[in-house]
Amino acid sequence: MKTFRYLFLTIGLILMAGSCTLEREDYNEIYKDNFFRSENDFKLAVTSLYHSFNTNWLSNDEGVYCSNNQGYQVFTEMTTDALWCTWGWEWDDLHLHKWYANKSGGEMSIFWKAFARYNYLSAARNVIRNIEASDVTETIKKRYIAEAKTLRAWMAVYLYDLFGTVPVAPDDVLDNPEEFVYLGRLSEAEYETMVVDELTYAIENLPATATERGRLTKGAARMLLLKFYMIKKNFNKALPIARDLYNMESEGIYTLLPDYNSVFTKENMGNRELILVIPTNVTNMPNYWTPHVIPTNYPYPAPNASNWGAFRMPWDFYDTYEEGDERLNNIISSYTATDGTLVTRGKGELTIGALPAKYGVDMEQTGAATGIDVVVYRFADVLLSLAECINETSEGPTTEAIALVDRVRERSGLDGLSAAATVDKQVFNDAILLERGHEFYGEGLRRQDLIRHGKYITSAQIRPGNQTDIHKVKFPIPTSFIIESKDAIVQNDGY
Amino acid sequence: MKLTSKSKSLLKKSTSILSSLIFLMALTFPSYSQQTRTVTGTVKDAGGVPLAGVTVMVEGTFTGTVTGPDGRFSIQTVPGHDKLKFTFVGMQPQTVDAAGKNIIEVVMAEDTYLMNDIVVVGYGTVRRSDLSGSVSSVKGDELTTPAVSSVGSMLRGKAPGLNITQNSAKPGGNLSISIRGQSTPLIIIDGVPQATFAQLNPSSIYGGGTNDAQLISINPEDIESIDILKDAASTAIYGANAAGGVILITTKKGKASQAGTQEIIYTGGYSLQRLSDYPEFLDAKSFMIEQNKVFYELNPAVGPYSRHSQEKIENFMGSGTKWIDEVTRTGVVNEHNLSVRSGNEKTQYLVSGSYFDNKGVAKNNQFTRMTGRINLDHQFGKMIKGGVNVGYTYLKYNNVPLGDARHEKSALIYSAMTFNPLVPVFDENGKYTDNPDRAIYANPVSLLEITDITNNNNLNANLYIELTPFKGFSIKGLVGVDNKGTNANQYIPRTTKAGAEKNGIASKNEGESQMLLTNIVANYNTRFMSLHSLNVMVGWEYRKNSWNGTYVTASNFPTDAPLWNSLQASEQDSPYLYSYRGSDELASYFSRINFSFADRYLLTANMRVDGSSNFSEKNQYGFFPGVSVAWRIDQEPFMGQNNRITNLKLRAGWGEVGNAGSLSGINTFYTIRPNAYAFGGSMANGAKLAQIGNPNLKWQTSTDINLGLDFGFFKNRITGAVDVYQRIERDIILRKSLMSYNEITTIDYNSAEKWRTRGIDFTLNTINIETPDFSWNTDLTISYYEIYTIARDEDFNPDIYQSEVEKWGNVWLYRSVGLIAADETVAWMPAGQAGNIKYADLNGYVVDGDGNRVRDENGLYQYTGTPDGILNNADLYLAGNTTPIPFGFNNAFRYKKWDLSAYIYGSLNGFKRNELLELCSSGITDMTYGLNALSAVKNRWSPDNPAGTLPSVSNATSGVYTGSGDFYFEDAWYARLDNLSLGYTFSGPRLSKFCNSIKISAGIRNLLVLTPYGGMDPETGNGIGAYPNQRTYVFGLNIKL
Repeated sequence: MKTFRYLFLTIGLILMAGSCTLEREDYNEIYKDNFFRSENDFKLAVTSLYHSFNTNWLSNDEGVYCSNNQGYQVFTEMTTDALWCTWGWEWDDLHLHKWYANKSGGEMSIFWKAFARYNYLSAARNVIRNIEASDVTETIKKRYIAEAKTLRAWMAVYLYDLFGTVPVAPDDVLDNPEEFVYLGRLSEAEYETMVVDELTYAIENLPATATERGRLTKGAARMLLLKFYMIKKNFNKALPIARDLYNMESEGIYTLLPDYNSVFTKENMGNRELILVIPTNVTNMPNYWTPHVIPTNYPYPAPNASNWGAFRMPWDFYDTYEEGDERLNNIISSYTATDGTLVTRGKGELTIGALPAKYGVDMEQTGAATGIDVVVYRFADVLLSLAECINETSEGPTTEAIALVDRVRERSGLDGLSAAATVDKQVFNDAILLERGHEFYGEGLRRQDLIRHGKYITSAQIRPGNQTDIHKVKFPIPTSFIIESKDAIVQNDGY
Repeated sequence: MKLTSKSKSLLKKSTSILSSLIFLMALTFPSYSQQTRTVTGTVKDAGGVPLAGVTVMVEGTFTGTVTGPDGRFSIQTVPGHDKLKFTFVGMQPQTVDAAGKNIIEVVMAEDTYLMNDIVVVGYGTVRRSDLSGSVSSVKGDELTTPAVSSVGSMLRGKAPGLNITQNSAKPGGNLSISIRGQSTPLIIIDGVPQATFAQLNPSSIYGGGTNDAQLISINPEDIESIDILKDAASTAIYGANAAGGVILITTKKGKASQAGTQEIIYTGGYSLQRLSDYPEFLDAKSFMIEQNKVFYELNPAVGPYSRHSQEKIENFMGSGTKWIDEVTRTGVVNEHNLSVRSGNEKTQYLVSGSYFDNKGVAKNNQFTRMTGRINLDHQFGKMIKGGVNVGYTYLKYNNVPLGDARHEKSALIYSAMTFNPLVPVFDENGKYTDNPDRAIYANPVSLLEITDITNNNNLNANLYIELTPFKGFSIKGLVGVDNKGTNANQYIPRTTKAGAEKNGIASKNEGESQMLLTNIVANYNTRFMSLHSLNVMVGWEYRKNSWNGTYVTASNFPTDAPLWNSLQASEQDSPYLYSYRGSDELASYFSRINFSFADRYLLTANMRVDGSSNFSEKNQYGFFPGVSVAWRIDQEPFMGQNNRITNLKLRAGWGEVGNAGSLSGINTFYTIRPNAYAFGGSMANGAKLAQIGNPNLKWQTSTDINLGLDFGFFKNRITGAVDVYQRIERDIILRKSLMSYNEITTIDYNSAEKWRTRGIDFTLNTINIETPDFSWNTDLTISYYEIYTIARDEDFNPDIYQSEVEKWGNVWLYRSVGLIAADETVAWMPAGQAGNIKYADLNGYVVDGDGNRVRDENGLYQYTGTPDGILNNADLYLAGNTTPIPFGFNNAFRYKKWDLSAYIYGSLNGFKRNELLELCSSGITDMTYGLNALSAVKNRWSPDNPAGTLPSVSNATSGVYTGSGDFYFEDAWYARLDNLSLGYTFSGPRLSKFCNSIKISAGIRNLLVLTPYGGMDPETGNGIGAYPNQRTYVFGLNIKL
């Protein structure tokens, strides 16, 4: 029976050896039990929400404010008369409105990535709820909740501007992510309630001045609410917000800088005209506008810079500027190339337009990376928006409204508006639109301004080779989202 | 295991249910009332040594016995059956007519026939003749190919059911290994599962490509055999980690020799490599002509000579810079291997060392491997045996930038293909020239200034002690470690564009992975009641897999000189930092029972219980069983003494295995998002939800059925095996898309999908001619499989061309029907212009009055059956399938001391997009940036060349992504004449004073590729900047002392 003794001994040994607990370790995972428990956790979570508005263009992590074709300011303005590009491809398709719901690639993937951001509303909502549920003191919680709500509204306004309303998941749906609930788009009223509620809370609870460049403030929240109402052409509701913002000048918070071009320089980053910026630096989160504008053969002063720009301001738009307009100082219409040849209007890199070099030279530019903050909203917009709201809500141009526009013009070395430009409400409105175009080129406002003034399609119709159509005031909702929703999402009219 | 009468008698004393059952079984056989008689005798080998343990059977009956230690036997014959059959491991079976004889002497001859090779099956070995599962084996000496670094590359086409593809032709480049269509097999060297090398790529724009992370570190000359467990009946012994199949590598052991002599073998080679698949690009003159034309075709207003004047073109001297010549060279492979095997009865050892060095065809690209190994076995006493196997490998890669990135990120090969041919390498100031049309592109030669070195080291060691308290029973304990370290460093100096922008960029990345293993295995082996053989193995195992690493990337250095070795000199504000650490554990019980009756009915049962830290608490343990049976028909009495059918074995198996390794989705967790935002210009970190876990997640289970037939005909002149199998996978771990409005839009889950693989593995080895002076052998392997999704998730939302049951590898594309003619408008391609690829509007979706697509009662979209004027998914057709049909075909000839072999491998099916042609043709507007294109683009459509077959310059804006259409897809089956080699062996009495033999050989590798594919190499030419494949001229020397 020796055999069995050995067998039992072996089995015994084996069973003994096996009685241990098994553990898995991963030091880069933070579990929920340990998170949302301190102010620092809130800070990390809210900072991560800011990340979506960054300037990077790394694939699959493009920021809303990147300077390539995925960037909000770039691809929206590319569909207008104020910006074009020499690279052809989707850049032309955008400029000539050649998009269709069933198309693939090119600008369609831009729209896809933009619409896919609608889950940001869920992510921000979850952060807000997690902060609300934590044990940290209310005053600390309020500050971070206000910031998160503003971020959520910012994305909601972005989406609304591009597509109209989008589906927004209610809390009970968010709590069961594994369940498939086919949500349709919110109604206009529901969407408005959401945006207004978030921003109202934010305006109450955010500080008036930013502790660091790029942090959201009371003014930024007001600006977002103003933009939302303006996109909706609800001038009655926009007017008091514009006034609130305007009054912040007397509170010493915002003002108009005396020199237009100094608003966008490195030295003046954080200046008092700025209401909201995307903060940048040359190493990790650069502003890439300048390299997209300055051509390879341009004698650029920054020693480590590499530019390959192709963004152009079409000559037709350039020609609408009045002579002596100081805003033209940074819009390059001729230059001597590195090989000594003179490049002038209509030649070489200046064939289709001038160089809209909005931002000043950053001598520290390394490669394509410059470190000048991307301007999102500034006080000049408050003045012109207030003028527009006053004009839209009154019978005709008022002195106050005209003065507001003239203040912006005079800052750039121009005279006040001519009498002809203020003769009636419509003419004045047109003058405001043109002024906005000159003032905010490259800042991503042109598309919504043209749409609001009913000129987005008509101005595209005169571009040779365009395929525009009245319904193209909204971008198409990418078909894959409609299929995913089992047709609960209804496509924008006309597509 | 040799059987002895002692073990037999031990079991005879004990009673067991099993033996009673078999006794009952025996009773059911017919018995005769005639007289029986006793035959006695002795069995000896050819040298006259008595053989113990030889099975003696009365042919046609179940009566038998086994010879004793003196080789003697005694057996009662059965009336009517006078023939006795003698079988023994390693000996040819023999049948003797005992009619009228009472005493017979038998001399058994050694069997050189492969069938009785030892096959490694995991925690043990079996004779091939006793195998009932599906296992392919490759012997070390069939494997080694000169000028090849990885065993993986050598295995291509060598084993049926194993498909290995070399994804890149760079030295040491990455391989995909798949067994029966399953990826990531478990690789085990001498009982220790392999950790994988951390693949570290610098976080810069230039990466050196992916390396072979698994098989590269083993010296092919050290390998005794490779056994590939293919069906779950066999792999169940590795349970939760065996879903991808198992590759068992056994290294050579020491050799006992009576005289204590040493076997010393030197193998060496020197090879030269030349580019073999570099496509033709435009030379300088053609480039100027085509660039002019492209500008003109895009905008006729600029005129036909907008970029280069007619005069300039005519007066241009030479053909311009051929950039590929500037960055490539003749590659050189140097290899040396020395091994010493020796020992006596108590101690045996192997010591080996090797050096492999391949200077790649791309300048600066080099791969070096050094290996050392000691395998030692020692008998400490009667009962205790022990040993160590230690292998150490050092790998060094000098990388060059590789990959498909374009524009300012272009890597070496792609930029050499496309850089402007009109400019010289250096300008008049001795600086790298820029592309005159667009200066952003790095000069290809400047990329050679980048220093990029990856060092790997691998320690693979195990130590075992085996106790054998009595014959037939043993306990073996093993402790093993596989430690793989990677050190990847890169410096991009100022002399490159990327380096100049940031004043030098240094990356220093380190990673380590480790597999620790300990197991105890008890084995009991017996033969009872003469004909019943039983082997029981029981074991326990614990293993821990851990990994950690650190990455640093910094820029802005005062000088380039220190490379990555003085990171503190960086003046960058926030260098990139990353480190990680993790581990998991697995504890398991396993067992195997082998039972055979009369050496002709075989049964193997494998089972394993795995507990894994990757499993969620709900599913902490998994049970994985596998059973197989085999019937050796040739051993049946009714087959008689048959020279035509020398081997015929039918096998059948069933088993279940899992893939716990991919269970990473159990936890919900947040991660740090570094450098999330730049408040005030300074970077701040964030934290985001990274994954939502699924606590119900369990391993995915594969259930296999395998039927096999091994055969040998005409004294085994023709041998082979055919296996047919089916595998059903269920509880498949997939990442499911959640509704896209969720914060995290994916989750790992056990899908209701089921996947079914059905396939056939076939191998045929023939000795076509066999004379003393001349022989010709042929080996053929071929594998065919089809994988289908046979069941779907409930929420499967099929597009119109998708169905519930679908074959993997199907490629659905728009059908191209030539090009759009000059005056043609195509309604369904509103953006299409003349010369663009024209796609057929084949079909449409059925829509309702509002234009919404209609679904039927099953939720499926409906085809209209007629063109609908819209190009969409309803117009896709099944254009091809990408499932490979791998095969290998070897012919070996020997004439006296000459030998010649020709090895061909390939795939009988392939379907691939010619991405380089697509980019150069549909992306031809790149020529306006001064980038070169394939010569083929001359044949594009233009108003002046309406007969052109490639699309016109405006194709990119036609509104249809070229990857959605079949225009650039091509059949890509191939057959590669991988190795043609001729050798001569010197041996004989005069030589024997110095050595046993010397063999010299010469060969050509990759001499020929037969394929319809028009792109680069059909196997390695992937993407747009693929490392060109090489033809290698090999000179080899082999000395046996």
